Amino acid sequence: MSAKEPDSNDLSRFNQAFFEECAEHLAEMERILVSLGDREPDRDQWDAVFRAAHSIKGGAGIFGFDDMTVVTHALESLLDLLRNREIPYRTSMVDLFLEAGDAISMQLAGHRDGKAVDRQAVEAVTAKLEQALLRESSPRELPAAGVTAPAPPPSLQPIPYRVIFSPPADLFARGVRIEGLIEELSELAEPGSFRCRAELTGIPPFDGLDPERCLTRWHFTLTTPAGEDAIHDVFMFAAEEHELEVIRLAGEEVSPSPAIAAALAAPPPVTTAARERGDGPGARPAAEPDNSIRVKTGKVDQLINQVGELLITQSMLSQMSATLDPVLHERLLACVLQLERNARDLQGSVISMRLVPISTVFNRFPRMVREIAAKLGKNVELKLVGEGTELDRGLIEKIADPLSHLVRNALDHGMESPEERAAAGKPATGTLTLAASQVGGRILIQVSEDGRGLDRERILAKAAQSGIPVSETLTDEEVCQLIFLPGFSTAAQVTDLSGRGVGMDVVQRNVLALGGRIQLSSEPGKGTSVTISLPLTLAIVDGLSVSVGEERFIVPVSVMIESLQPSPDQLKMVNGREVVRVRGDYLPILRLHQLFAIDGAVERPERGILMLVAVETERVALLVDALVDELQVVVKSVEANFRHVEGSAGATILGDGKVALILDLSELVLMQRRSIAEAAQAA
Amino acid sequence: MSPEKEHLFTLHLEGEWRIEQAPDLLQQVAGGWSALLKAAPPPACVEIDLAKVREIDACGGQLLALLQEQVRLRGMTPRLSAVPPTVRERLALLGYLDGETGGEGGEP
Repeated sequence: MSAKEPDSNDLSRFNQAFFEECAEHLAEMERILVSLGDREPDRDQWDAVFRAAHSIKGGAGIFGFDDMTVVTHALESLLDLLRNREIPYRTSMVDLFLEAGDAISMQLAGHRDGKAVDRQAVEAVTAKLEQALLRESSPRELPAAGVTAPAPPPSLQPIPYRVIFSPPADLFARGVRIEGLIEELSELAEPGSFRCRAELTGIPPFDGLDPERCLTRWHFTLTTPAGEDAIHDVFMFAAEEHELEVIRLAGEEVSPSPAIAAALAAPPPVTTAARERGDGPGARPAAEPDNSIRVKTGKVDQLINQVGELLITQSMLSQMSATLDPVLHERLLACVLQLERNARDLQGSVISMRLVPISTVFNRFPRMVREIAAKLGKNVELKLVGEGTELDRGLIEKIADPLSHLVRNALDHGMESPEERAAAGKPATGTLTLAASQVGGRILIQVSEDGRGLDRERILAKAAQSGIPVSETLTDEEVCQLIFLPGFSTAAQVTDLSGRGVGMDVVQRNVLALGGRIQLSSEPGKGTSVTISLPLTLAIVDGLSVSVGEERFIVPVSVMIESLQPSPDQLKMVNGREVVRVRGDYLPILRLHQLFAIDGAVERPERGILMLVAVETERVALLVDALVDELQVVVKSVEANFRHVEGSAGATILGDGKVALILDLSELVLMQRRSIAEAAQAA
Repeated sequence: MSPEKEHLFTLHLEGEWRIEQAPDLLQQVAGGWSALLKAAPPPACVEIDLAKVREIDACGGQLLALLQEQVRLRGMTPRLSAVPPTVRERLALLGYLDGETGGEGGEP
């Protein structure tokens, strides 16, 4: 007997869709719960949280993640009673729901990433939910103090529906457990109102029959108060919009109230498909349906790459056409110009496909701030500004950790306790603001608080203690920058939140690695603000094209400070290292022609150009022959087509067809150090 | 699968009727079908004995429904017999039980 498994690629593809949806539902649930504060959720909020839990449970059941259905079932049951006001709401329930969300997240990570799942924790939270369910739903005399008395349940009228599910032929092969789906649908139905009929859409002969091909269309009727959306939710992971038809049987209500009967008598059955087309009574506005589709990021990257190729070709065409007689070739040149505009527009559109709102990162902070503030005994209000600001998905993933560190720092070190604030004449509740905005081609993210501000004297004392040369003449801005030095921490006490002395330098390094910059400003008694500036995308670099011999290189603009042609008296040798003196500082010189073994390049710095660039915490001077042009370049992977070239962060193709390496300054500095060490060893 | 009476032909099905076994199930059905077509005289009624079917899912239920439809197309009457309770319950849930066997499989 040869048991045939469903195609593992198919399964993994559909599981992935579930994982993504599940994570989104968890994030939405957490967002709503954390936003509540001491308020009781309104009906819409309860419905949204309930539907998130319900959808997770449904999807988990369909895809066979049975462990996830246990905790979500308990959660969903409790939420259902709460949203119908059958049990009273207590503010402490939010913590329990958040804990349940954490348990489900852990289970999700277990299935998705193979991470360990703490089963005891999951069982404990399930037990807590079940206990709460039992405790709250048992008869009570009077609501206890501090408990919101339940209002009468809203009159939810059961409505009969006909549902037709026409699944795709690969339904079985995808591993969808239709049984679980039908069970879930039947649970929505009023007792005795559920009917299911399987209709064969064809009766092929057994000879040549593919037994895994789905040839069934399902017809259901049910009467439910849950509404049409709840029916759609059941099929969320199994059916595309066009595969599911939900028809409200308007004339067959079960004892409707006169008002509802009147409302229902008028409209004929309207299917979802008809509503989407906007051609039935009660049609929703065209903009309402979610017209988004999920596309793998790899496909978007491929498209960006192809548009990059197109831009290079267009650039070559522009360069070649520049030599043509503008009178004789007027129309051709106009077309080339139009092509350039279209290609740039296309590039912008494609890049925008990789952009996601920063709210995907910001959404994690309400809960983090709530928990850390509670732990520290501080009152903090979090303000989120510009959550809709978009930036590259790759950057979003990488900026989350540095931002988390800044938020922890702000709460732990910046924000005072309520008593300290009161003593300083400030409101007991401090404000932490996370703001994002787009300025030109860059994204600014600001983490600011109205806390105690940086203590200039303590920073200077700490710097002196750490052997960092400082003077009292440093400006406040320069003093602030000292906290980005490795190992620098003025925290009097190392806590488990921050203050391990490995903070801000790591944050800065991570931001620089993304082509970003970080700045800090502070005012004693008024607070501290950290601003991160990031490029909009990683796919395009603002660069300066420089020549070295016959070669061209791209230096990212984000690292550039200035360029100069040194006079001979500015050039020195210090400990065997060639340096240039700029306003009292000695900067090491990196000779690109040596590092890349290029012949025919300018070898004397006073005859070439020195570009001063910032590399992490130091500054170096790059020796190049000349500055050629400032331009935006499309980053291409060298590794993918050739091999890693040391000192480069990728390559680009210039308008004349030449390949130019995009310099990785950190790697160049390491190459230089190694080269000096080797030379010293040889000597 | 054996012709037990002149007008009754019994197909005995067995095993786990799940998608993982789909190719084997098809073989089982095709073998029985072939024997049924060779029966002379053709039976008026075909009994499908499910006594040894341990489990069934939607893929298995569909194959069983296809078998019954093929029987009907040949002018014969299919009838399920000895259906284990768990299998009956599952077929009813999936809507593959028609009026003759009762359950919740009636016309919506």
